[in-house]
Amino acid sequence: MEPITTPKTFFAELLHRDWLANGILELQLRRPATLNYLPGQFMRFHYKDLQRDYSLISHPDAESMDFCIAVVDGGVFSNRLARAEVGDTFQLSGPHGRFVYHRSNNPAVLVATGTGIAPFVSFCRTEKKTIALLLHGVASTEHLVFSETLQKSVDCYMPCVSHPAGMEDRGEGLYAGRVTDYLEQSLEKGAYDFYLCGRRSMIRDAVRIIDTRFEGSRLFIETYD
Amino acid sequence: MKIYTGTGDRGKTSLFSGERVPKSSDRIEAYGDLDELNSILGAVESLLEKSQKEIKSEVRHIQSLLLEAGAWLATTPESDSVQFLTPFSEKHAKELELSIDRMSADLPELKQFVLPGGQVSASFAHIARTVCRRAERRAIDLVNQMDKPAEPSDSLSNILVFINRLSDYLFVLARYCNHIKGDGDMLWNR
Repeated sequence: MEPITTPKTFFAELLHRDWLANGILELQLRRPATLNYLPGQFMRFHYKDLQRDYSLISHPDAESMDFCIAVVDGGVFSNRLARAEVGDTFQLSGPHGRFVYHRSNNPAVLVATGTGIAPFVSFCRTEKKTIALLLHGVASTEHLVFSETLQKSVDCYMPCVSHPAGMEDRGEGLYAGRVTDYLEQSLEKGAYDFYLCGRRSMIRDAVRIIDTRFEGSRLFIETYD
Repeated sequence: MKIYTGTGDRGKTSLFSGERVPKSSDRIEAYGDLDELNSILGAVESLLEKSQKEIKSEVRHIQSLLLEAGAWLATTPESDSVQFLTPFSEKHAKELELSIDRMSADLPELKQFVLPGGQVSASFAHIARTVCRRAERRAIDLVNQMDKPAEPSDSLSNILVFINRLSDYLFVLARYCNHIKGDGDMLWNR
């Protein structure tokens, strides 16, 4: 590991685009040879007067910079990305952010909702077998992207499906409820390193539970709304 | 980006190294003082004449360095997280010394105590100086609390020297602000 580096601005070419699930897009852009980043950092996309931040999901040594993007109904930016074609170029700046993996003796617990899973994909591609538990909160099982990669890389991968209709294909290893329900009711008390990535409402609720139930824990937070 | 998360509403906050600590803890007080100092430096910079380009730029550079120093104070020194911090070089204190010498060369020799005040920019530089001294005291307290026999890292040692030198810089800057306006020092006549 190395100190967090100074961001650069550059143009990058789209190499590949794929739909991972309904409304969830994966983009691969050419990585400049001089760009170094840490798992968990994000890049800022610039388009006209707009800018949006997206976490990298790739291994820092990979040849491409990969992103997992929620395409929002009516969202100018994400829909521009959804329409992009291979060979299009985008202006980016980065890497940004300090939401990186800090090693310690505490078991690491990663908690994400929706595409908040993105930085953890990069963690898991880099920090194999040092993560005790990963909770991924989704409304429906179809949004459980990267489940194979995640399952292989952590001791316990627990999708948390909050919408009953999303549980029709319920199988072993699924939790019916929110990630915060799991923290409150199912995670054994103790000191952990918690990494939270998702909407502020989830993070606010999770921190309240962590402060109450998991004294001595460390906490790292990334919000995306 | 929204700036509020609501995660600090119950009086705790997270250090860069992740520990949840009371907002009144020594470490938060220490980097809070650097934040206060940085804000006053913003006022000093805005009060300097446009013609003082070099000093304005110098003050902005110091503000950036204070953010880096704050990140060090917001990190438990024994944690693995220090690897992500930018090393704080000893050259930053040396740069301050050069600036002090450069400004001092234009100032009359000081034979009496001066009263903090004069031009608005000078007065704010004096406020910054006193906050800087407090920040230094808090930072020293933190380093003294480190697990013995651990020695502070080079970066932490360099930060202590930098903060000490910065208060000298701000004293000279205050005098310089009065001097370039032709007012000179406000001397303590007792």
